[in-house]
Amino acid sequence: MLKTGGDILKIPDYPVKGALYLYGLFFLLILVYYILPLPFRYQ
Amino acid sequence: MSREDYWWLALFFILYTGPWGLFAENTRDASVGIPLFSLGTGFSFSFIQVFFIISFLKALYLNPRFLSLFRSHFQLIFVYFGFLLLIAVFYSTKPGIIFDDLKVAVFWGFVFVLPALIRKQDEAYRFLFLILPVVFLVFIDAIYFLFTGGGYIYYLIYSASPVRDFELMTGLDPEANIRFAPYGWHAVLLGYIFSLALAQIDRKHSVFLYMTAMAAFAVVIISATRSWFIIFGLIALFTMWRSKRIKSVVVLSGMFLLLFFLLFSESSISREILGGSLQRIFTVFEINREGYYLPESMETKFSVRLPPQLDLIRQNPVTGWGFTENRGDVDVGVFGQWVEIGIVGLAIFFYLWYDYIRLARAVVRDHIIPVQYRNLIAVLLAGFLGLLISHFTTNQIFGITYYTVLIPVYFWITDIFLRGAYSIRAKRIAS
Repeated sequence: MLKTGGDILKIPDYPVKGALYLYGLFFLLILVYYILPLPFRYQ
Repeated sequence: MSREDYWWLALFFILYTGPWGLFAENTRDASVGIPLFSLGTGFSFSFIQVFFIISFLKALYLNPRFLSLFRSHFQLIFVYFGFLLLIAVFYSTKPGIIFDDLKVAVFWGFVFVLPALIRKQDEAYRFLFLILPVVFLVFIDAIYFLFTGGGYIYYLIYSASPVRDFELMTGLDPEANIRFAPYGWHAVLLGYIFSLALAQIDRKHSVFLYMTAMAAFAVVIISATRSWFIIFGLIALFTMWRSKRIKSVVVLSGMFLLLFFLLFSESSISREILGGSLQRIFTVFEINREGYYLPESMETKFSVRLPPQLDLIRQNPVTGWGFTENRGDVDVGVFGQWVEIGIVGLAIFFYLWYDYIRLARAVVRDHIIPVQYRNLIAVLLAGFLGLLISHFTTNQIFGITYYTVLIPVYFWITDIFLRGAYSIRAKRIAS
């Protein structure tokens, strides 16, 4: 349940570090599940 | 999951929406993507399903109470879904069909999971900030599509993709009207509405938010989706009218458009495709012209896709077909939903829509609350009305298996800001 006591108008800074980790992981997943298996893929 | 659940839920959202068409290969024979987790024949789960199960269990462990402004509405919907499940068993539907539908329908559970796991307002803001850049990923894919004359970034990774073996060639002129399929569409749709809404109260990130909204609009133009072009346009006009910040929006969008068209004037292929997309988009302004004919896809909807749906409705108008083989057609809007959930289910959804509009409208008209904040709620309300316009005319938004993550996220965010409005109101009255 959301705590309504806080000030909704107090907007935090953009989570740069969190975004870097998040999209870093996204591209890492692409590397692991799409790019690295390329040589082993049969077509 | 850790204490930073919003981060993990943002990761889930990105993988679920699948920008660039990635992580969408949820079949056993797919040779790429995250493999399925199998517990036996016919009992396999994709990565995002496993993710949902874990988050649901954690939410249940942390806070089993379902607290939302729309709790009674969703409880009614879930009870009704349970009833439809029984009906499907009564109709002797194959278990495989029921199970496949259930695996998607369970994502409705996010109406419970999101408020249970993201409990602070700053975490909700961070969640939104984290998912917004997905719009730029889709935008990059759209630009790549224009430059290469129909290629997708996905082709760079896996050219013989099983999920990409179709081309969208519908339109007035198939040669010049190759359309971009916006993989990651749910993120674009949410990104557009939320960025415009947040921009009303967040001056600190306003450039980022407006750029996100413009990138989302550009994706709609390149994909030549006429209904969404109208809806996005109406939301933009309404937002500008409400916020009275027409000057800054016009300057920003002018710069963006200039950059956009300069970029594409260099390549003849992209110019042709963009021209084709614009040609298709602009047919919406030709309806009153003499001799105008309905574009092929609209005509198909009325003459080919709608009649079988009306037959299904006639056979079972009250309860609908639920989890059986008889499907709602996603492209005939509310009629598809009627096929799925019948008139009883529709009544429950009308109750949900009515209360959403009622609650949001009450805040928009409440002059005790600061005008910028009321504008934010107004944009959310306009976005919701846009979703309803789409639902009642073309693309089905509400249903058992459609937009099952987008709708919970939309209601949860609205819930947060409505509660915020009540809290602001209470403080102002007390002071």
